[in-house]
Amino acid sequence: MTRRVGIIRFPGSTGFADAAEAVRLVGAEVHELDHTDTGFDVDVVLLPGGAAHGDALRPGALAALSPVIEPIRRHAEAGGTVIGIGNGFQILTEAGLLPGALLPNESGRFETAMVRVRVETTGEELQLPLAAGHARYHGDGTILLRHLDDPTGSEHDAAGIVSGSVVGVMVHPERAIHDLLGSTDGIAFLSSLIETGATTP
Amino acid sequence: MNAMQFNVQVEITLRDGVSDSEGVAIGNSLPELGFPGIDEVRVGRIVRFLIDAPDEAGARSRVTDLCDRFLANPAIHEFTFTLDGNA
Repeated sequence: MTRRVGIIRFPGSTGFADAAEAVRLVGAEVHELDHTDTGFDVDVVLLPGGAAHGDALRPGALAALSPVIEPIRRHAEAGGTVIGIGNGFQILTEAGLLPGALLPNESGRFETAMVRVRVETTGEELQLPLAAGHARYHGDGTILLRHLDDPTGSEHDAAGIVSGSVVGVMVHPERAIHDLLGSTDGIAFLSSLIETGATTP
Repeated sequence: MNAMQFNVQVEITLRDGVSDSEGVAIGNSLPELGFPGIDEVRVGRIVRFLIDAPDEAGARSRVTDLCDRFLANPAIHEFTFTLDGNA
């Protein structure tokens, strides 16, 4: 059965269109959800990248108080897959749906590069783009993706973590879906997250 | 009920043990910028606002709640604040 993926649009979710294109590419159905929604009926929730509310105060801090966070919390508690990419990951940590926090990169710079990461559950290596100023993970979350040449200074080189059925990644699988983009490694990774999720081992 | 208004200043800093990349960058640059002998630079943030509350205890409780749930992130921050009832 076709998986229904609800993509949340926060004010400043500039990664919405990229996420929607990638979700359709892997054969799933896109449901556009708004940050003010108080309920939804989808199989997977995806919080896209961007800069919700202009990253005011801290990335994700304002978005974490959005009405849509409560139904996302219920979805996660019922075992439903929740995926946060980039700013979406930051929102999930600010909302307490994932442990830890994302701090300014060790370099003090916005880091943008194609980076190598390893999927800890399978040992597979992927090339995925990173584009973030606050990508330095601080916390003790279970690592799903690990940087192999970490430009962020994250604890234990974390590039993505998982807690229950909630996943957050700082790299962008939805921007690695075509040869023209320099990598197609995002397709299988995203497809697997949408089809089967990633649960804490 | 005569609600009072308080002037609040909240100071938010990274907890000890959380590496402060901005503080490190500043600290590393100070000597060559002509400011030797300065160590352990930590950069924080100040937020000021006015808040309504029936009394000082009420204001303190409202500000603490605001900091706990929004202004500071307990995973990385600590905070202090001052209240001035002569707003």
